[in-house]
Amino acid sequence: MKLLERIRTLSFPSFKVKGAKNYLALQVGKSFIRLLELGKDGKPIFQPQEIIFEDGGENKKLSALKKIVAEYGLQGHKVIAALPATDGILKLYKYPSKISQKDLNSAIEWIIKRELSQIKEETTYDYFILHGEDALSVALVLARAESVNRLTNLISSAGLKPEIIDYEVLAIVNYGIYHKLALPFSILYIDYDYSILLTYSPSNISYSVINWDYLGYIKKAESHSTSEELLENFIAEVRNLIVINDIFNVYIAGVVLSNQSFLDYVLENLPILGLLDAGELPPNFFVPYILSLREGSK
Amino acid sequence: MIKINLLKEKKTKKTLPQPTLVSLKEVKVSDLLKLDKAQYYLSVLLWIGVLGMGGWYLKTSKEITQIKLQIDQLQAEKNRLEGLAKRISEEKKEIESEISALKTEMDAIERSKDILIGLKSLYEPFNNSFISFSSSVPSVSWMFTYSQSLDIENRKLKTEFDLSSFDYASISSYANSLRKKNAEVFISGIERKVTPNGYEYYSTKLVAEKSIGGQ
Repeated sequence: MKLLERIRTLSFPSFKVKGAKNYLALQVGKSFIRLLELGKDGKPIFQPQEIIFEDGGENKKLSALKKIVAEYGLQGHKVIAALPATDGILKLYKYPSKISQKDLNSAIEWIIKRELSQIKEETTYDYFILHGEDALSVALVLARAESVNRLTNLISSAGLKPEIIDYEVLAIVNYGIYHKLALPFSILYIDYDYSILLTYSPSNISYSVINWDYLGYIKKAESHSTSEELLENFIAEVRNLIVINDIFNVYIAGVVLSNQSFLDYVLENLPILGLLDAGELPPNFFVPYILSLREGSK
Repeated sequence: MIKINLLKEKKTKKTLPQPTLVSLKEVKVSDLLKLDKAQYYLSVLLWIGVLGMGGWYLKTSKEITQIKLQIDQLQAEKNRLEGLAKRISEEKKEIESEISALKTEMDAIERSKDILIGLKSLYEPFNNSFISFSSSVPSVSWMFTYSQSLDIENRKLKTEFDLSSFDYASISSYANSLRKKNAEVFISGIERKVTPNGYEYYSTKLVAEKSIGGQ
């Protein structure tokens, strides 16, 4: 806790959602679903919902989601969901800043064509143009159509209306952009199934997915079985990534913020600059929180 | 924020259903004329918008023509006033030149008046001089020659005359009285002369200079 106090804690002003259209923010992981809806005042309209599954079958998720929808009367609500980082890839392409719009368009078309030709299965994609100081970057997200369809089917089967499918990695990046973290910033996002370490600057986005089972670790820790080795492996992997990629300005976010002893251990062993909270929400709702902010922001 | 929507692509790919021959056959004119409520309201709204725009356009175009008319009128008024101003300035110039001509004339008149006054101050004493001299001469004497000259430059009147008389005393007393009256009188000595008939008389030459004219 002492260490915690020493660390600069980040507190952000409460957010006011602009406009009348609220989106239900949905995050679906391998072993959990999270649902959140923020009102105009930035406060959740209903108690944020998180359901954890022992084995994550689609039917269980669907029935759980249906139950929530029925309970809170959410039928027909528009949904913004995040595609898990493991179900897609993010690629960054750089172009000179003076490139004409026509050339840029044809360049983007060409890279999409090339990427799609290398992937055997059906793929959906979207891209976003980042205007850096001396270069233009195009962030291209490619995802298996099957994953996207599965997610949209889950949403529509539960009586909701899928409107936006965002990519989890970019949602986490958006938190830093929205809250104007000093550039470049890095975020270590730890969730139940896996963790993501990402770095962002307008000219660069890089990320690594660390397949480390936090949920399994918690269970082992609760049953007092040997869990230190699991934790040490994770810390070592993250530290290696930080050192190899020469990353600094690392913030931490995600479910671990509510686990004090784990957080203390991480802060003692990793060069963490600060904690990113999800407004007044529990830290588990980091991704749904930023998804909710997305349509209200520019 | 970086905004990615993986559903977006699918939406944009949405195409209109291709009409098949069967569906074409089924199309009825009445169906084409049918509008659902939203379309109906939208079309009404659209028409209101179009009519509103038309009305607005008419109103503004009228205003514009009116303003143009006013501008033309003001332009004409401006031209008229400019012409007037030009004419007035020309008249003013003419009057000014007349005034200056009159002034020069007046100056000339003024000058000639001065000249006349100056001349008068000269010729009056000049003309009076002979009368005064001839009347002042003693009755027992006579004048052989009399000349009078005027030095205009120095305003001096010079009078020369030969005076003769049988009576010496009358000549000398006249010369003396003349000397008293005039500052510059030159008298040559009184000579004794004899007429062809043998009569003796006395003669002298008198030169008197006198300043005349004030200006």
